[in-house]
Amino acid sequence: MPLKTPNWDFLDMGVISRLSRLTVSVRMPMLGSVTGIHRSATRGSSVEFAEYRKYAPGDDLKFLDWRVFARTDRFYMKEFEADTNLRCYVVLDTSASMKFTSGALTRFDFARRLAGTLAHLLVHQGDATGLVCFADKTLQELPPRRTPTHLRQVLNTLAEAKPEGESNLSKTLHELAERIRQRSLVVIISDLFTEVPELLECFKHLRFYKHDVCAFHLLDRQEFDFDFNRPVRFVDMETGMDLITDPAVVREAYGDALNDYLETLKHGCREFDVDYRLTYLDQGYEGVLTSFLLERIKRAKGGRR
Amino acid sequence: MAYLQPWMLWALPAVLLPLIIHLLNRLRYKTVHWAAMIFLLKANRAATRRAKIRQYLLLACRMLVVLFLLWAMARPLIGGWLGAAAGGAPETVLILLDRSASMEAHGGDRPESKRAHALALLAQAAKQSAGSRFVLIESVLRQPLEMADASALAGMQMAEATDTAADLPTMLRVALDHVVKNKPGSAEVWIASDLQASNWRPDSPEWQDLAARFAGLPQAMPVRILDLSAPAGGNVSVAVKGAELRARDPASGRGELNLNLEFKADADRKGPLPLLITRDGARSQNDIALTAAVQRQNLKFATAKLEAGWGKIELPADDLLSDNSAFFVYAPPVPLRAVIIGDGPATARLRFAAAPDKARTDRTVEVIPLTRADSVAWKDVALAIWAAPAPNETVAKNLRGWVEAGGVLLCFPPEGEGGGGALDVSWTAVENAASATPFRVTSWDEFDGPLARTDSGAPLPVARLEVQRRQLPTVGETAHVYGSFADGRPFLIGRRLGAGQVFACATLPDPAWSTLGEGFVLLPMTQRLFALGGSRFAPPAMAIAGEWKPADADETWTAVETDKRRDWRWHAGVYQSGARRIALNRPDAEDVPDLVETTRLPLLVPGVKMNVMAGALELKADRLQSEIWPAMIVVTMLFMCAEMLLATSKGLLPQKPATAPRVRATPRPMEVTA
Repeated sequence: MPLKTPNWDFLDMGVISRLSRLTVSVRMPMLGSVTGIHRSATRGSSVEFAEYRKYAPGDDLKFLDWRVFARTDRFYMKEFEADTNLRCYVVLDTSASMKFTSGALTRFDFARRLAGTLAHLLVHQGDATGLVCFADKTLQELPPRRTPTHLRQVLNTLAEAKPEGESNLSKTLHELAERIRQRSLVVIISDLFTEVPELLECFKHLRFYKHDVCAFHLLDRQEFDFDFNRPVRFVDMETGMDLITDPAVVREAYGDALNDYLETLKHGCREFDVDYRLTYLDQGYEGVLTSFLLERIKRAKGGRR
Repeated sequence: MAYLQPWMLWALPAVLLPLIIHLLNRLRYKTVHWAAMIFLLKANRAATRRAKIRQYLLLACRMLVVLFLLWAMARPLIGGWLGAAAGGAPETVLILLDRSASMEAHGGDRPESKRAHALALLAQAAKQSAGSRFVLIESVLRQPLEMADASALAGMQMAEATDTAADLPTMLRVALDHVVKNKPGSAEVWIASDLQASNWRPDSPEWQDLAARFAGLPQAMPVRILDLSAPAGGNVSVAVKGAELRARDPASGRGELNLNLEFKADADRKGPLPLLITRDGARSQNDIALTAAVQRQNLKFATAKLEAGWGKIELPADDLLSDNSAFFVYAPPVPLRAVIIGDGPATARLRFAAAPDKARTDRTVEVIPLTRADSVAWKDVALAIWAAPAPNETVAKNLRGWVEAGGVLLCFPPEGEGGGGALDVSWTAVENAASATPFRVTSWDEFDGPLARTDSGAPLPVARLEVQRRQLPTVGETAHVYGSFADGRPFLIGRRLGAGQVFACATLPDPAWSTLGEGFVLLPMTQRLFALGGSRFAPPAMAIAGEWKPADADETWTAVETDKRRDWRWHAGVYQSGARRIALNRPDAEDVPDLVETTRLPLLVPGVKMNVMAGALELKADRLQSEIWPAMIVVTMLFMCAEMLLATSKGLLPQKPATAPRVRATPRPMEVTA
């Protein structure tokens, strides 16, 4: 019986090959299980000098700095930075609201492209990548691993995922924060249509466990412009609830509510050091990822200095 | 408000189009599956009342734009008169034109008369009601005249100036008759008048009848009135009250023409007034002094011969030219005869009072005892003085016939127990006053009747009369009291009987009765009654223009003055037919400037829609009825601007994102130095 081959059409190998020149880096030290390219929270044996400390009995004499001993007649141990690998959780919103689009590409397609490309890049640079698909609850969870087989599994899961059901982002993130014990990079890809205080509580929870949290906030241009000019029956994509209204009447209030939401969210993300990225669907995902990676590289280099 | 294209008003329901479109749009919504419901629900809750009000205002503006646009296309007319009713032009318009003499006033410094101004206004109004049929009813002939071209009204002979009066109730009656007879689909009455009270007769019971007839019409017939009244301003009118040619010197045949003139002046007009008098073609000037609003003036002219003639009095030009001239004719006096029935001591004084000048051959008196009263040839008697008891049946019958034919009977107390007298006169018993307190006459009619003021305006010394004995007369219920005693009892009463009149005096010209015999009251009283009774023997010398008609319809009466085109039917002047002459003057009432208050006009015919265009004299012809569509277009544009402002104001336009980042060129990793 032939196996059904999943369709990975959300992956563009050209984009991946271009982006593979860049490193997916983190903004803070990680605690990996193996040696990798990311700064570790512990001392290790890399070529990067970290600091001196006084000798303690039992220390390996290999790291004793004899020259300092010769000059000062004191024992100092030379310590070096440790490099470790990265554990990344890609949290993908698969609720029905992700189906929305006013153009050719739905929000879910965009999110899937981001998630797939990012997972591919991470695994190929030796980092472990996991995937969490959620709607009103966690639907699929693949723990972070760095094997090509695992990558295939991740990509297959992405290919088979369907946007449906209601979203419960805060519950998913709180549960995830409790489940992940090790410092990780948590990449959230969602429309974030939930109450801002609840969302910020989730971010706070994740940051409490010292995870590097990045949120891709996917918005359609029409959701911002609200460019309707005649009465519309709006049907909620998640609940099916409908509302007939004249856009001319609610446009101003809608704009106010959206701007207020965005401002509060941006402010909260700055407060909790969450890498918030407002992304419009008419932006190319390659560009979005490029700027994302470049900014992280700059920040990581700055951190080492 | 009238409309030139009233059919456009059928499109008025189109005003609801914006509302219908709005409702249809609300119904014809499109369905959108939406993700960001969280903001939409918040926005829907926060959609402020202000935004909804703004949307309703927007809708109202759009509806008003359509409304005013359609209204403008219907070409509405305003002007406060013709433009003040809904609907199109009526099928028939009845124009009631007041051509009375007072309509020739200019009402100030205007170059044209009220009548000419009214004609211009009416012609202009007629142009704008081109679809209507116009029927003219003017005030003289009062015959409906259908006009082919109402705009040529000013040039019509039937709209020319006259010296007649107008009778508006009768004109309205003619108009109603015309409407009832012709049954037009819709009709209107346009009245052009200066609202002179004598023309409108607002107290006449005819108005009640007219109101009932208006109410009986199958359709409403609005009445529009062009109020051409103007405040009085320095006008003086002259009227000839009498022109009497008397024999001054019977031997030489010289005569004296006595003209009795009446001047009526507005309050602010006093001082010297030059009179131009034309008599038999010869002109002379006399100056008089105006001292009162109503002034009587006697002018006497010596004539070389006692021959008939004619003349006219002219005043300097003022606001109203037509009342500045008055015409008269005069003729030698006709011999008059009076009879005194009675044989008492008072008859001598009565005889003297009736014919004081024995040299005058034109006034003769005969005293006849009651017993011979049946021998009186009543036919040529002008005045009969009855100072005797009641006549027998034959005499009474003759007497009644004579009075009804125009004779004047003056009765005095029969000196008895009272009871019936001549004709219907009855007497009370004799009353005697105390010697120290005689009966006195305290009130009498100074303006009309035998006790009126003299021609020069001096009052008769009636109050000086001392009456010791009296017998109070009654002559029926319709008697007019010409004088009464201090206790209210009648001194002199009179009533009409056919063409003649019967008078009764309460005392005798006898010293035992009163001082009436001294003559200072008796003489003028008797002379006046004599002249009154004799007036039927004199040919008609003066009459009122518009009212007088020749006895024979085939007679041709032409104006004596050949320099003016005059028609006896409506122009004042002196006209002659063979050797006969008549002076026609405008009616006295035309000289009385009293007006009907405009607020009273609608009350005359309650239930009739009446529109009074006050101040029509100030109105230019082209402003009587003006189109206001340009103003409507301006209003429409204002509403369009308001609609635009509301539509483009914040919150109603699609809000473009102010902060949304646009798509930027995607940086290629190759170009980046990582």
